[in-house]
Amino acid sequence: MFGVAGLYIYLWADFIAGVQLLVYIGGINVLIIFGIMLTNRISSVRLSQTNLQQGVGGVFAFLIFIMISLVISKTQWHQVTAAEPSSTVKEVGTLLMTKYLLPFEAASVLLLGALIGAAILSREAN
Amino acid sequence: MENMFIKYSFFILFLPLFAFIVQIFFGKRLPRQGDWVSISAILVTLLLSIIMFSSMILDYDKNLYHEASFTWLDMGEFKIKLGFLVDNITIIMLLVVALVSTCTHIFSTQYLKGDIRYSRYFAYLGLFTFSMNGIVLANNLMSMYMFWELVGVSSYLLIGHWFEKDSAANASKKAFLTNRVGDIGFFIGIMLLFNAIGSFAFSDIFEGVATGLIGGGTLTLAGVGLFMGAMGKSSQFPLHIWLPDAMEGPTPVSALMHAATMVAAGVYLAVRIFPILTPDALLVVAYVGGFTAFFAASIAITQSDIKKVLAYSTVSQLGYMILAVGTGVYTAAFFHLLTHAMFKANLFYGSGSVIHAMHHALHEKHDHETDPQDMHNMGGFKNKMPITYWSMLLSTMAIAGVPFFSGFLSKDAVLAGTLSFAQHNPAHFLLPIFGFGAAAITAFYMFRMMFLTFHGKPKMPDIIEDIHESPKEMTGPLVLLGSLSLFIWYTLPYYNPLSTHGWFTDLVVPRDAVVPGNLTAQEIEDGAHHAHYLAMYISIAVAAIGIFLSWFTYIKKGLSVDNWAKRAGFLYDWSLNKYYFDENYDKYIYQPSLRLADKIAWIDWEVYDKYFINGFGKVTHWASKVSGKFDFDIIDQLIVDGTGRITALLGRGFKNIQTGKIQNYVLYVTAGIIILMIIQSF
Amino acid sequence: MDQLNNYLFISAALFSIGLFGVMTRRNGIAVLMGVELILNAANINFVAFSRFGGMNLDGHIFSLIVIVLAAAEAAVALAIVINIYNNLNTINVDEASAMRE
Repeated sequence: MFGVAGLYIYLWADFIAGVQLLVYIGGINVLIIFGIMLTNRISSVRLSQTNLQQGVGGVFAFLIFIMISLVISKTQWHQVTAAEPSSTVKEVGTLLMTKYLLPFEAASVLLLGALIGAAILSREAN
Repeated sequence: MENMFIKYSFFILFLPLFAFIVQIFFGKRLPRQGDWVSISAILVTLLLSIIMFSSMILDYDKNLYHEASFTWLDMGEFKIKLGFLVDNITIIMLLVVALVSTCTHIFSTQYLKGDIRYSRYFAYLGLFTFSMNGIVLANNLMSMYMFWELVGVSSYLLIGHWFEKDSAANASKKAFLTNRVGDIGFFIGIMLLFNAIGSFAFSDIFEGVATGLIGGGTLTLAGVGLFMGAMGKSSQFPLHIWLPDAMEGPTPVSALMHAATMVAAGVYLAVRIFPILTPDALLVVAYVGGFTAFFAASIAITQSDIKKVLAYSTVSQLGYMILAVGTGVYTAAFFHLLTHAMFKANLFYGSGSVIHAMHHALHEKHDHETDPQDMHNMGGFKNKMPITYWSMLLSTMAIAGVPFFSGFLSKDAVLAGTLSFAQHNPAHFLLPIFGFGAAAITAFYMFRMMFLTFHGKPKMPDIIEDIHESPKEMTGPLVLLGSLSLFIWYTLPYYNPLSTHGWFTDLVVPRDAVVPGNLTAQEIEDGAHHAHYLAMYISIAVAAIGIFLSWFTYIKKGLSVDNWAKRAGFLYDWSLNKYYFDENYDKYIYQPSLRLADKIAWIDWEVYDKYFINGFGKVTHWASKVSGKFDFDIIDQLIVDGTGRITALLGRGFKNIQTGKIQNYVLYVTAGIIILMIIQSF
Repeated sequence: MDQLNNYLFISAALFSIGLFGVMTRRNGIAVLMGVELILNAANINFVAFSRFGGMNLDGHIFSLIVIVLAAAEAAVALAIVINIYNNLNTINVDEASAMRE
């Protein structure tokens, strides 16, 4: 995640990088660690990390990679160079409120739903 | 059919058939059992034949020839044409058949009076007349063969008229079967000719032989084959065995068939096919005929049954005719056929009359033991049955070859031919020896018959009183045919008793043989002519010797029959027992054939039936089991159940895809994407 | 072009690794981590295109929304995993196959 954030910086996406750091690493990864913590019951037997599909899965993943790479390398991307902005925060905010208002609101509704859902799911079964 | 001859022939042929049909279906119900139907039919036939005959005499055309044919079977390339052929020979033959048949019909009304199968007898007589005319009128070998068989059938039916008697039933069977043996050869001959020439008609065959379509060995073989038919029908050696036994039939039948007509059919065939006989075939014919003539005569001298004597005499005379054909003088053969028909039928009628009288006399005395046909029981009938006696005497003189009688002329012609043949081919000296020897013996035994029956003291004095002349229906034919035994009828318009020259020789002219290399008719006739006088002298001499010896032995009792019989020893025995032909045939031919038939039947039963037929059943059973198993195992289990099982298998297999594990599903999705991308890239 | 391609390759690689993780790992939470990886790869893609496509900030917005969604989804997913753990006493995804045929 940290690496990804760094990449964002490289891509002049400072705001996104910040968001990444905050949300992904601070929130989601912590959540995952909590989950691991709560469900950790490693028995003494050394089990493999991967399931039986690992061979085929590995092959397929690799194939996917090859294919996407082929596609990437063969395509002429339409590129427009532009100047590096000083900061993107302001534009992002503006855009959120104007052009992408609807997705913004939808996302908030979604968060609400997720909240409720997670709460229900973690109830004790009565 | 435009032609008068053909038209009349048509009626002559089919009228007796019509009579047969009426008689056989309605005979019993008609008054008098319908004999008038047959008699009127035959009288009309006779009338038509006489008209044709007179027409022939009036035309006096030796080249008279009418032919009408129709296509019977047409299969494109393969055609069979049947039809009528009328020439002088045909007309004479038709008249002979009609005349003797009429006499038989009339004679039978008395002879078979009260018989239990009266109407059927007349029906069969009609059938016979129809068949015989069919042979005479045939213009091709195929229809001749068909009628040939029909005549055989009629003979079978008529000989076996009293079939309740075992001997009659066996005799009729024997006649038919012996005939059939001859017919095998006949058919082979016909087929050989057909194969080479492609037609059955005489005219085509003659043409075919003349142009060389068939020749040499094959033609000889065909000729001999055809002659075998004649051998069977005309009772030549070695197929002579049936004729003496055929005497089991009623005497009028014997007169009609076994004297005048049916047996003459063989000679008629020989006369018709004469042109295509090769010298080798002719030799075979001549030797068979000559030998038969001699050997049959040698049996006749010891026989006691009056009809048997006449039977063997017929065989012998037929041998003469065949001999004549073989030596080339086939018109002489036909001439002898004509005269023989007259006098032999007459002799049979006479014997019928005698037997009829004997039957009556024995019946009066309630004697059912004595054989009415045995000559040794007769004697001294001369005064009691004068008409019978005198007419039989005329015919006997004819057959013995006494001058002024018809037989003399015809026999003379035959013997002249034989002599001339031997003169030109000295190697075959046996033939005239056979001929003249048979003539001597014939004279001897014929007069023996006369002497034993009519002369001397009655051997059974108690019945002699009851012997009386026969009714006029029986004496009528006797008178008619007796008078026809005189020479004059055959030599008109000439009156020379020593010459055959007359309407017959003018009208029945020999034609050249079509076999290349044969003697022409002219050559044969010349040769015969030269030998004529010599033959005449010799024949008169031998006839005289025969008659004298007979008279000496039986009237004068100068020679003792018994002594000579003892002296002859085994020859007498052989003669009396017909040279044991029947016994030997039985031992060497019939029994082995029957054994062979048994064996084959055994094969049929034990092997074929058991293994093939039953085996077939078993195989079918096994096949059905296999098929059932197949049905059950393969179809039911494999296919039907199998489909189910495969579906289940596949289902189970596919079930494994749904593991419920999300990761597997992800894998599948990925795989699908990859595949799609691969496909897309192409 | 070169740079863009590089970023895209990185993104592709991350995607593949994430996919591998999703398909292969037995631990449920590890699967979730794989999902996160995939999402992140997509995000990089968006931002890269935004950067090299005229600094169009649409890509940023989208990426923002994706992050939001990722968060929501992670919360719910973890709740589910904890439920599974409570019921089956294991987080081995192989065991959670009650919906198999």
